[in-house]
Amino acid sequence: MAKKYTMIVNLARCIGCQACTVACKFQNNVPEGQFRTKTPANGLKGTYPNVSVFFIKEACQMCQNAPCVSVCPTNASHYNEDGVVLVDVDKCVGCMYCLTACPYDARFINKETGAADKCTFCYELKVSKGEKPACVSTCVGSALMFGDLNDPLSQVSQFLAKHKGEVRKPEFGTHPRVQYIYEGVVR
Amino acid sequence: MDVIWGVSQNEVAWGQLIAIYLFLAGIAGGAFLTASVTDIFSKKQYPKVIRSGAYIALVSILVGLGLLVLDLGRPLSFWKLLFNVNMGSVMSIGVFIVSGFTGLSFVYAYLVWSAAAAQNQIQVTSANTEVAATSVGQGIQAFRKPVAALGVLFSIATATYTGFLLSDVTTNNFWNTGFLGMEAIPFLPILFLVSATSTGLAATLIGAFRGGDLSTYKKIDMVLIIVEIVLISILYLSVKPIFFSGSMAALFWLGVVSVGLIVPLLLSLYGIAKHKNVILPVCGMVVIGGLSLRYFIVYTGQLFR
Amino acid sequence: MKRRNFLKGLLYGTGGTIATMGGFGTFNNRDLLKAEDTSKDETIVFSACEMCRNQCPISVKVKDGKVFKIDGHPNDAAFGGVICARGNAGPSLLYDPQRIKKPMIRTGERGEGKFKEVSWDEAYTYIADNLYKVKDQYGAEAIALASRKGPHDWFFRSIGKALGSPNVFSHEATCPMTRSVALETTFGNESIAADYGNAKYIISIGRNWFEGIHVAQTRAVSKALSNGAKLVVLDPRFSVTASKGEWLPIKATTDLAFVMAMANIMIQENLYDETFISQYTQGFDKWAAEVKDKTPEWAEKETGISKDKIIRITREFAAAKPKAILDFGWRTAYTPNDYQLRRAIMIVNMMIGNLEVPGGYYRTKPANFLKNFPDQAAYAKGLGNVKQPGFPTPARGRVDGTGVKGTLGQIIPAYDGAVGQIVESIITEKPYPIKAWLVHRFNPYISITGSPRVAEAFKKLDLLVTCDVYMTDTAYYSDVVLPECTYLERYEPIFDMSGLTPKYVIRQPAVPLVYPDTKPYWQIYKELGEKMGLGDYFQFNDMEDFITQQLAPTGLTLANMKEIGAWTPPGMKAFFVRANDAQASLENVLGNKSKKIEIFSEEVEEAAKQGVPKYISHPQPEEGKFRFVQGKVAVHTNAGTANVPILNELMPTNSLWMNTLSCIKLGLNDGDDIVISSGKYEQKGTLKMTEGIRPDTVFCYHGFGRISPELKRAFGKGINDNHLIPNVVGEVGNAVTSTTFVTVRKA
Ligand SMILES: Nc1nc2c(c(=O)[nH]1)N[C@H]1C(S)=C(S)[C@@H](COP(=O)(O)OP(=O)(O)OC[C@H]3O[C@@H](n4cnc5c(=O)[nH]c(N)nc54)[C@H](O)[C@@H]3O)O[C@H]1N2
Ligand SMILES: Nc1nc2c(c(=O)[nH]1)N[C@H]1C(S)=C(S)[C@@H](COP(=O)(O)OP(=O)(O)OC[C@H]3O[C@@H](n4cnc5c(=O)[nH]c(N)nc54)[C@H](O)[C@@H]3O)O[C@H]1N2
Ligand code: SF4
Ligand code: SF4
Ligand code: SF4
Ligand code: SF4
Ligand code: SF4
Ligand SMILES: [Mo]
Repeated sequence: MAKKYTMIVNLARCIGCQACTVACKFQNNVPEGQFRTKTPANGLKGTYPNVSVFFIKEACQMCQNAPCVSVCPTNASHYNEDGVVLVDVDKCVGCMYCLTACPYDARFINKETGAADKCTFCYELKVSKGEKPACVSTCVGSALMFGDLNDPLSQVSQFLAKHKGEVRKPEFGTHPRVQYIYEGVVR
Repeated sequence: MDVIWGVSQNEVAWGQLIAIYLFLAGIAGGAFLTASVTDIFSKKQYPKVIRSGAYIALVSILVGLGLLVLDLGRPLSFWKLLFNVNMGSVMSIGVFIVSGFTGLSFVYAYLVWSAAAAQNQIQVTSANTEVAATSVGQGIQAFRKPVAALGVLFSIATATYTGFLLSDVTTNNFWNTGFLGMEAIPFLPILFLVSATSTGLAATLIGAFRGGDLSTYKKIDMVLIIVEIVLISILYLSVKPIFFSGSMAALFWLGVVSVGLIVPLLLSLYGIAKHKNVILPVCGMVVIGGLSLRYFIVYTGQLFR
Repeated sequence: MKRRNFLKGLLYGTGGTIATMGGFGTFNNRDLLKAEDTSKDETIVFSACEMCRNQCPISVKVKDGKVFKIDGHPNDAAFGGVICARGNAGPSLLYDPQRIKKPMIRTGERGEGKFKEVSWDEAYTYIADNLYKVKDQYGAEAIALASRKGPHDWFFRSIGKALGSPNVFSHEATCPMTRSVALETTFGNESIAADYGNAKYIISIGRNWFEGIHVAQTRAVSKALSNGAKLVVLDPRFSVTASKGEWLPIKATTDLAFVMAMANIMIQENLYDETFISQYTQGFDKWAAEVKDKTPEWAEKETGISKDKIIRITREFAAAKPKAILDFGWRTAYTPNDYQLRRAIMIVNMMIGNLEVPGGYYRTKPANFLKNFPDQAAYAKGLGNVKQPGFPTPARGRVDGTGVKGTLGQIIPAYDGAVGQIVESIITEKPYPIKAWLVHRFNPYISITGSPRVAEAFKKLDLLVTCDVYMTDTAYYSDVVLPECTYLERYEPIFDMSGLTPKYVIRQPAVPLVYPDTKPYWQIYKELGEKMGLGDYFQFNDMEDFITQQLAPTGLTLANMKEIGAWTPPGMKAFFVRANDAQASLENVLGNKSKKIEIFSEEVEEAAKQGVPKYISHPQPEEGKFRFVQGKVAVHTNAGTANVPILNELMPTNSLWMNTLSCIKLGLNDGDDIVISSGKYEQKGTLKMTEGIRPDTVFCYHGFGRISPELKRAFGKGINDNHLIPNVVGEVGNAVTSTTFVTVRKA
């Protein structure tokens, strides 16, 4: 049965340590100066001494109605059998149409391949082998969870049963598979 | 700035090469349109206009395509665009429109050129070869009208597609602006079609400015400018002001509005009143305005999201 | 291949102690690893990280002879297969072309940066000749050694001790020494740790778990928070840790007032554990007398934290007893008398009796300690020592007066010493001159306070030798630079990382030397020792041999350790002495003669005239001046990683944090180029305008402003905090980093 892979980012737990950022670079040997993911501060809010801040992991949101896929002239951008959005480097001509279409700035043209690149949920190298994505398994704050929503016993299903997951920029109707938990953070 | 506390700003995926491509594709479309329409309705009267239009169309689309390929992350694999088709993607459809257009402009340019060449020959060659020469000429010249007619369609398609290419990016609330707030009717295709026609016409006129009395064209051009002014005003009213106040503001008010529309309009009014020939400056400014418009739209859409 | 990986995934997934039974039990996974080894595709090598000194257990993925990814060790429950950003960046250091690749000897003026590459033998000869020259001329005591405390010390220090020098130092004085001394003088034992994971209430006094990362600790605090624990953070700036709890922007250097007020309230309101105090401690009455007048009102004036908050937090803290932790800090070098703060903190902890219980403090449980407990003895498999002849007794005492009775030196741990004193003794030649300085895995120029003074000291030396992986700022001033290979290319002695159970971790090479002329420290100092005729002190052939000697008594073998990476006694549960019996004896936990927790300490009374901690009020910045504080950042290590490619990419420089109001007062703007002045010295930098800091305080991340041009990426970028901080040697030899005031102006 097809999987419904989902990543959960529990913002209250994220400490902005960037272990995910670096793990991703090596797992997917992303060229110097380019990133599939980053976890910057969302900007300090409030005035001294009543301030708050949280860090937010940015990467491909794995839209199920993905603008990057619909605009791709060569079908290089596609959904795989488990609903993961991937780029077929072979078909990609590097036209950057998908870059302009992605509302989450998740994509870039890989310096070395010249093709569009982005988070793949580590599908090829990890997930398809039954392992967790590199960023998830190295998450120092235990802020990241990954699993199959079609499996009611998976950590993600269990967690989302108890906590409210939200997607970024819902107004675009992209239906992301990456969900953010805002409980315990000041927006 | 560091990754933890630093602020990341929007990067521009499509830069000037794309802006210039959209501009040139517009010119090409407009020029071909001018030439072919002229050809169909009054071939005899404006040979220079037809020639100018046909050649400009071919040259600009070839240069434009060159830039487009150069801008690819993998220029050498551009041909894959022809073998992997996504009918849902404006770019994929565009590939075929533009290919068709380019093919036609080749044929058309050749026909126009060979006709002209034949003309010259008639003057130079001796009586006995005359028949042969013209008959050969007439043979292919038979295709000229149908090609021109087909060209009209493809010119319009090419000009509009450059607009759809951007307006189809539904996640870009500037490019995706609807006409008079109507989601169904995207704004840019309309704007780009008008702008393409006016810039293409202008370019053609520059190429043919000693082509005798062009007053009809001047009038058409003025109408187009006025229509464009109306469209730009609508755009201005239907999207967030930030788009016109940001780092692209200067380009918009100077390039697009002043140089591209207001001044040429006033100038041509003045020209008509005083019976002066202002065709070169007017057309020149219209062309510059068209280029500014593409730059403005391409960058603004990506910078302020 | 896929299937094998998957199986392995399952295997490692089983986690924690069960899987580490591999030590003896699950040899079945050896076959898997064997199969791995033969497969060209991907091999996994268990080892330990060294991107900082926490040496977290790692599993290194090697493909076609190259390290391509480093993960946490999957079987170590405390680490949960997690490593931090720096640990993940290991390959970036390993393959950095800017590493030093050959031994070098200075050719130009000192600090001019002119070197010639030499053979190891030339380097050894040069060092040997000059060390003996110094020894003959000034005595062995004129030779100082300083290193980042670690497993290399056994080898590195042997050189100095064998020559008869008393002056061997660790970096500790710049780091947790006031804490160590506080633990030593209170419990007679400095190996006390905190069980954050089970705590219900945690108060941090500047401890910054979420930027000053220790994977196991950071995860434990996260776990506690997930389980609903409350976190209170005293810090003059809004650290990431502060953002996860209640932030109390305390005036720096006044923490002791807060802690004494807590004691005052707990006594007033009778919130403390009287039975614990009477059963296990001595001198509580003297403490009670000392804090009698340390009221919340008084503390409010000192600390800037409202008395209501102090009272409320104290009550909440006491209510959570004994699963509450008033944290004793890690980098505890804020003030000259920081030591008294750390004592007071532990005293207040003892007032809620949180020793040897889950969610409190505990003495670490190495094998030799377990021997004392019949029901645990079975797990006590202690490491053996490698024989070494006795070292000659030094002719003179140490330059820092360590060990001298009746002085503060009496309580300074001789193993560590006051490393800042080396600099002073070189310059002032008091109590006697230091003429040669061997530096290993340490960068005094950036790490010791008073960089300009450190440089001045360097210039006065006859010999400065640095062993590092980079041409650091210190190396740049050296006569000889020795290139060590990285942790991913070498064996090291088995690390005893015992916590609530004994734990051994191995470091083994994941790949052969990337730069063939680099060497591991044990080989460097063994060879240097032999060159100097001190070969007897290095009685092992190579590190495999050394490890085998270590493991002999444990029943483990080198092969076992190579295969499992980390070992804990199979089946052993976390062991707290008072877990089930609140009255259980702490005899074995307490190392001091009195066998009591010494709230009042005779020894300290003798040494520091402070039997119990006394409050000293430190000056606060006057108008126009700012208190200057520093801290760690998650993506860099101290003086170590500014030039590591990927980490430099993430954070190439630091900036000076200043409160928005203060910026406006000074007409400064976010991102402005500024000059920071301590009066005597200046540093250029950029300004970060923020609401997240006290208006009277400025802050920067430590470890930037590098002066060695060979650190091509980091050179000249950012602020070197220690350029502005004078080199003051604190009460127990500690560095002092939070008492400096600076002014700031537009550049
Ligand atoms: N990522 C990363 N992790 C590390 C390290 C690293 O370099 N990088 N270094 C490791 C080492 S060696 C150590 S020692 C630990 C250090 O671990 P921590 O001690 O937690 O590290 P710091 O960030 O130095 O914490 C200093 C904090 O104390 C605050 N502070 C300064 N003066 C005062 C004061 O007077 N009172 C109070 N209440 N707060 C004050 C500073 O603003 C800063 O936020 O981290 C270890 N882990
Ligand atoms: N003002 C101020 N001063 C401070 C601090 C502060 O916060 N503020 N922090 C203090 C603290 S907590 C500490 S612990 C000290 C730390 O001070 P240091 O111990 O000097 O800093 P580290 O970054 O731990 O590493 C020192 C050197 O070890 C080298 N190194 C890394 N790996 C290896 C190896 O495998 N072999 C060899 N030979 N060398 C290696 C690195 O290149 C680096 O040059 O700084 C202290 N100084
Ligand atoms: S590793 Fe986890 S905690 Fe660290 S920044 Fe990434 S998501 Fe946040
Ligand atoms: S986030 Fe961007 S790249 Fe990822 S699926 Fe959505 S649109 Fe495509
Ligand atoms: S860049 Fe590649 S993936 Fe993106 S739209 Fe163009 S062809 Fe498709
Ligand atoms: S899932 Fe893989 S590719 Fe995506 S961000 Fe995490 S590590 Fe990078
Ligand atoms: S804390 Fe990070 S850098 Fe330090 S040893 Fe552990 S993983 Fe390596
Ligand atoms: Mo430290």
